Amino acid sequence: MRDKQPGRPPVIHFSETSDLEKVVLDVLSSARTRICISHSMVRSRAVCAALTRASAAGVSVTVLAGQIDEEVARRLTGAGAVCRVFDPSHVAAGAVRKFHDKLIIVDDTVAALGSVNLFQRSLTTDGETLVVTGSRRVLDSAAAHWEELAAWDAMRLTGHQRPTALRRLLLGERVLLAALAVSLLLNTAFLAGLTAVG
Amino acid sequence: MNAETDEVHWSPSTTLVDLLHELIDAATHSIDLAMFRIDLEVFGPPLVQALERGVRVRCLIDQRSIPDVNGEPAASVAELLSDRGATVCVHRSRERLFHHKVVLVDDRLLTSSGNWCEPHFTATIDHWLLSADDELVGATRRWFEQIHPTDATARAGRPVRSPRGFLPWSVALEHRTPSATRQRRRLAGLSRRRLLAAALALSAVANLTAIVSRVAW
Repeated sequence: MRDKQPGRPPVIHFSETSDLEKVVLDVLSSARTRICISHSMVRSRAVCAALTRASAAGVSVTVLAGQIDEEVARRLTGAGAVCRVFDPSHVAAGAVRKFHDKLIIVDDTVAALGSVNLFQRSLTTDGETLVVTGSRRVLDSAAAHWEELAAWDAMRLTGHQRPTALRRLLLGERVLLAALAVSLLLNTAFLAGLTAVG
Repeated sequence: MNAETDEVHWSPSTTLVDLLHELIDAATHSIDLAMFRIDLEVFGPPLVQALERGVRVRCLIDQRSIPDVNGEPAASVAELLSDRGATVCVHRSRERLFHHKVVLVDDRLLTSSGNWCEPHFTATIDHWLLSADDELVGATRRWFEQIHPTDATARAGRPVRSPRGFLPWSVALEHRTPSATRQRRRLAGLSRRRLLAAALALSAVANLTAIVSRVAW
């Protein structure tokens, strides 16, 4: 049963004057029963660690994301959290094109919403806003919105795939650079060989 | 007012643009806007009307709101706003996005996950929090005063960065990357990775030629 008393007074945080990463981590670490996240991008390792700890402590963690780092998803699901990612192919043409939400609900008593995304640059460098509120009106509306999204067909389960670190490595600039260096060495060796023979 | 009067709107919604227009139209004293992206073609006219009613208008926007092409309607709206006495400043930084979506209209605050442009009204999942809470409004007002460039900086006709990285619209417009250059870069697609791959391919061809010529010789 939800407490219908007025909740925690709202506070607005700006990245110019607050450490937003700390604010987000504090909100997450205050969870006792449930964390519901609906976010555009979930890539932060610090947020992942906080959610993993919460999940390990018995807090129910569900993440709905537009994009989620595969390693983060794998760690979260490994810790018992549920991760769902937006799949635009499940949406009719002309309908929703992007999952751009930035909402965290903790224990149905605190909501954190604003412009900040859950990746490092957004949490620590960019100009961002975050409102943390216990307003019942906001919480009730946010909870209904979140439940609707959680039941949406376009949110597919994720986090069970193997990490694609090898694929990323093979396509990465370092490998290309190394291959180029080897190839240039071969060129030089051939040229040297030809010169010596000549 | 306290937070129990706050309301949240969710997009996609066909009524959001009307809600934002009503918010601007209701302004009697001031509009302070800090926005990553705003469609000035849509929201310029009601802002101009607000100026004509004697409302003080201050806009801080990210450089990504600057249109690519000279003479676009958005640019002329920004110039019109400046001409009518509004402060329109552009945040320029390669490393840091000015990603705020905050608007303070008199004693009401609107903060959102969505920018003030399409597709954020009708085709994205976004939230829009409207609050008249005294604490939130007061804190936002103090923040805006803190980050807003001084009038002298805002009206300077030269490319001098304020401590927060803001430039007047007209100056920012003059010093943007020419759209033709951007277009060329896009067309050429000269990313580092592609350049490396091309160099690797060339080098491999050279190797192959050397091997073939060696064998033939």
